[in-house]
Amino acid sequence: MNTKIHHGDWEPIIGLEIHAELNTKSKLFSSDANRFGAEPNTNISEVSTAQPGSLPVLNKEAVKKAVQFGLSIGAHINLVSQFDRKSYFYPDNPRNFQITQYETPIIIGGSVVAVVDGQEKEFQITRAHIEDDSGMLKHFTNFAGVDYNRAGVPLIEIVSEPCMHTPKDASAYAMAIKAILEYIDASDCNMEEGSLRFDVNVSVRKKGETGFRNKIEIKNMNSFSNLELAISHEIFRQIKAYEENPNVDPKEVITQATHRWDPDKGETVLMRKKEYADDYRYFPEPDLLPLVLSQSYVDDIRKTLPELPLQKEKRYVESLGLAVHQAFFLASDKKLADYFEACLETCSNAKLLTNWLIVEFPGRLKEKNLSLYQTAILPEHVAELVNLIDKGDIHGKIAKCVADEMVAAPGTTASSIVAKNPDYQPLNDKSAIEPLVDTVLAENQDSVDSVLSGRDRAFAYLVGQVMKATKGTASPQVVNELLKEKIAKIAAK
Amino acid sequence: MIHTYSANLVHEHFMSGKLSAQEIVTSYFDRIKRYEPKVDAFLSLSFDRAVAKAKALDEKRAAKQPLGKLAGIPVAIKDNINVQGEISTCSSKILENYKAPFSATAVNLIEAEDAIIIGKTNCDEFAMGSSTEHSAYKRTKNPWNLACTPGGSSGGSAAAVAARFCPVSLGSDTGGSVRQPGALCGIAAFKPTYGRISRYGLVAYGSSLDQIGPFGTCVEDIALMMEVMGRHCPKDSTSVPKGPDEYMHSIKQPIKGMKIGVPWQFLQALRADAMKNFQEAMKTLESLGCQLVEVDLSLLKYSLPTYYILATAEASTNLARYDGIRYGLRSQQAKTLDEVYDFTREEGFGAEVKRRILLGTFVLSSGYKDAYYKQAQKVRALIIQQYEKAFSTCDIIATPVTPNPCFELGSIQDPLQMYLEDIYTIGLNLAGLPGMSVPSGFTQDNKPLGLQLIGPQLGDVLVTKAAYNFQQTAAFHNAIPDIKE
Amino acid sequence: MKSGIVLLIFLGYLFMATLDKNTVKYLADLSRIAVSSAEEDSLLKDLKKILSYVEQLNEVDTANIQPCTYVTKALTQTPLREDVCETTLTREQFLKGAPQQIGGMLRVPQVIKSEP
Repeated sequence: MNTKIHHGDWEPIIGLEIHAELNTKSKLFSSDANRFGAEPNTNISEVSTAQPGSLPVLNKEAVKKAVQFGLSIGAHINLVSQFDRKSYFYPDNPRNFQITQYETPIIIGGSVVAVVDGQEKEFQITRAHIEDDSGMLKHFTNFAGVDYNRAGVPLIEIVSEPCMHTPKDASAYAMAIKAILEYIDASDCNMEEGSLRFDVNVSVRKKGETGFRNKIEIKNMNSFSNLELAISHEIFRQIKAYEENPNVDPKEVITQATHRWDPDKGETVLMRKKEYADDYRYFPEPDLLPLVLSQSYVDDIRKTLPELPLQKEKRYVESLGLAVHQAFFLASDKKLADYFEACLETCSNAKLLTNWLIVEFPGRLKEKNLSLYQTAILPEHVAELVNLIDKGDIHGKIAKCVADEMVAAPGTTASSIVAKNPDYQPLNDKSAIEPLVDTVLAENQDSVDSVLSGRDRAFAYLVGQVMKATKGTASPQVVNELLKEKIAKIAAK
Repeated sequence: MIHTYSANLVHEHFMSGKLSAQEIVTSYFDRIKRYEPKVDAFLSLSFDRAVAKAKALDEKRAAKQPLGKLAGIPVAIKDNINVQGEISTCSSKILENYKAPFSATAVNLIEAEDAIIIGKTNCDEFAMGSSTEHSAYKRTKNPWNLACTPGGSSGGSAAAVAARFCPVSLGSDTGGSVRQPGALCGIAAFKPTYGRISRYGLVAYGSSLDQIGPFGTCVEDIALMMEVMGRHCPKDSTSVPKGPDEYMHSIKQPIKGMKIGVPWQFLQALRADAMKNFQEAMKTLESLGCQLVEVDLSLLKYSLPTYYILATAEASTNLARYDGIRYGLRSQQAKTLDEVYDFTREEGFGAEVKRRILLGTFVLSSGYKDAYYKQAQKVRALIIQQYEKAFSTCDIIATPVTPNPCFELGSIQDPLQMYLEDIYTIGLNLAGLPGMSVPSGFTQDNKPLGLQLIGPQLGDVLVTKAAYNFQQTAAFHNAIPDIKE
Repeated sequence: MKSGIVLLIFLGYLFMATLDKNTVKYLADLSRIAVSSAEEDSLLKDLKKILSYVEQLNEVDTANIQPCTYVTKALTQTPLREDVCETTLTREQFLKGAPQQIGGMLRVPQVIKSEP
């Protein structure tokens, strides 16, 4: 989307709040299990159901994962941070206050790098903190059911600076955060299951305006594409509202509110106005003392961080010679990067491999809505296919047919497909190709004349004809050589 | 007469075989049957549970199996402290039939030492009050004067020991709710250092102020209970990381040379008979070899407003969970979700609780938080500093427990006037200090008076030692009220 | 400092001036308690009295004083718990005390207002 054309001289200002559930074994403040998909109210405790007399005790693994994340984004880790009570009434909130970190969060600042429209961009993060998740409300026609399995699950809330200006900025940023969380194994980052959630704040202003206009908060986008759609829709809605009401005070045109993204309607729907911002009445949590970390604890965690997406991307570019956008594509999805590196164990043509992993196979799997690593096509299968192409055993079109069959019957190897189908057998025998070359030359005299008068396209045409005659199984190199030889002989006559 | 025994003596007689646990339980329950209708200390009695435990203890002893430190001792538990499987109402309608799914750590500890739990006692609703009159269920009477309140909020537990329905009981103290009823009922009562006894299983009122505290017929009974309950608990993040203290031998050491700080300035407004009693108590301490020094605790005049801002702020959030959704009362009139919240809490909470929730909500609300909540936090810091300064010149501090002896039921209607009953006790909760209320005498009309001994943080044994020594000379605890039938 | 106190007392007066029935209603809304009109009157009276009593805290000079949040000297940081699972409450125990339940969940009337 070319923003210059569509947004005119309006500048969208976008900020993202990401909530990720940390994949600890037990919950943040109690020892009931942190597990998705269980029968309602089977992963609960007196703490997570707020029984009278219950008290919170902090999970050390949740703290560790938060510190790992903070270090991964180059943020400042507050060695002393505190918890606060945030009060609001809702059935999924067992205590009717959440325990969060408002005044003194554990993580301050930081940034991530992402590729947007082929360009590397750095996005700043304001802060990140630990808090406990609410339970779940399930809506039925005449009533609602409350399930506290999720109540108390540890969350990390990551707040970006309002530094994004396009929907693609936002999704690239979100993908970069997701990649980091997956790399350090801090979260399952499963948007369908809700272990990764986005809230986005959108406002617009005239280019050159300082200060921000009122923003709209949008919730309920459970995929990157929905995120982009919702933001895009909201930007246009706001611009339209301002342009249709040029004489009204901007503060009245767009008033702070929360909207829900409705994917079926393709529009944002008002949830509630923030007339008076919910008075959450934050104050320090008296049941928990400050969280105090030692510098050596933080340093130890820094030493044991795995290779992060940005480092991996740079390595792919420098050592494997991949293009920047390709390297980012692979590195941003940990499972794909792992898959790629598994292929590299038996295949050395990284660039060719990359094309198959980024373009060829995904194109074929789009219908099934699967990623390569979600199928029974193993890294060694893809590696083998690439090796066959690289060696010259199969070429171009044949390779594509083989790939089609690999996708249709995941698990079958390229070599077994080629072995079964004589049409796929590579034809490298010069003596078998020669007669076909002769035939083609005989049937295409005018092309031969064109070649002799210097037309390269005619030569390519002749190559194509020979390939057609061999049903694509001939080695293009051999065909090239033979044609050159024979045309030269004709010229000599 | 078993009911005249201290808890220590009951245990001794049980261990020696002189008394069986069943005899003990039966004796106390007979007394309860006779006098409880006049006193109304209990909300529920667990006779069957107690008899079963007594039976088991007798069998254990017969089989020469090891027995706990509290074996054979009946204990009453305030109704805001969880006993697994028993109802915890906190004297509120909103928890009318609520059964606790787990026991408080303190309860687990005493049961592990073979104490016999006999019932749950009446209190002010959610521990908010100084007379037990704010209970949604009944008014407890002072065994010394049935027209008077036993004090509060732990009035039921105090009355139970005063009436000798049991030799020890548990209460909770947030602004004086163990020490004040202890003094008004003429028994020993102790609030430990903040964090010394686990708050796990104590229904929260003011989280940074609450402590479970024992009542006993004498200071030695307090010491026994503290040895069992005063230790680190991993389920309470504010629990002091320290194992149990040794009390029983330590407290019997003499206190000669101990410096007693007295904030005479702060006690200027004390009524004549209370002042006379306090001065006599100071003479007793001097006769034990203590030295009196004057200390400055003038900031304590701000302790009440500070407390009422901080405690209500914390309480407004601690009581938010009572909403008719997960447990307890749900209003029958509620049709929508909003009504479930609004009607349940309207019906379920009493007037004092509502007052404090609204006040607490106010002092935290945006626009007012700095002026009220933050300012109170700062004054709290100053009060703590002033105590520390005082302790640099003395070992423990002495004051009366209350400005007045027990008052007639219904005689104090003004909430503010009721709050003023806690003027001498509240400072300790703000500073996390241990405090013992030990009987120091009687007024002319035979109402008990109490002496408060205050220690620095973790000075629990020190304070108990001073109180024990005081009690050996000024043995007012031996008096048992004559309850008119 | 004197002017500071004067300012605080003035602000205190302002607060008192704004503590009216609407404030009580607002507080009751925030606290989710459906106080009746009669209760509002008595609550207003009591709250006014209590608030004017606690106003005296403004007399105390607290410039440069750090607010006290945690009192215990022997403990200055929150303890951390090992990440192990333990079941301490079953669904059966939980739902036993539930006012209304359905299909293993707590049952509440349909949510009309939108979520926070």
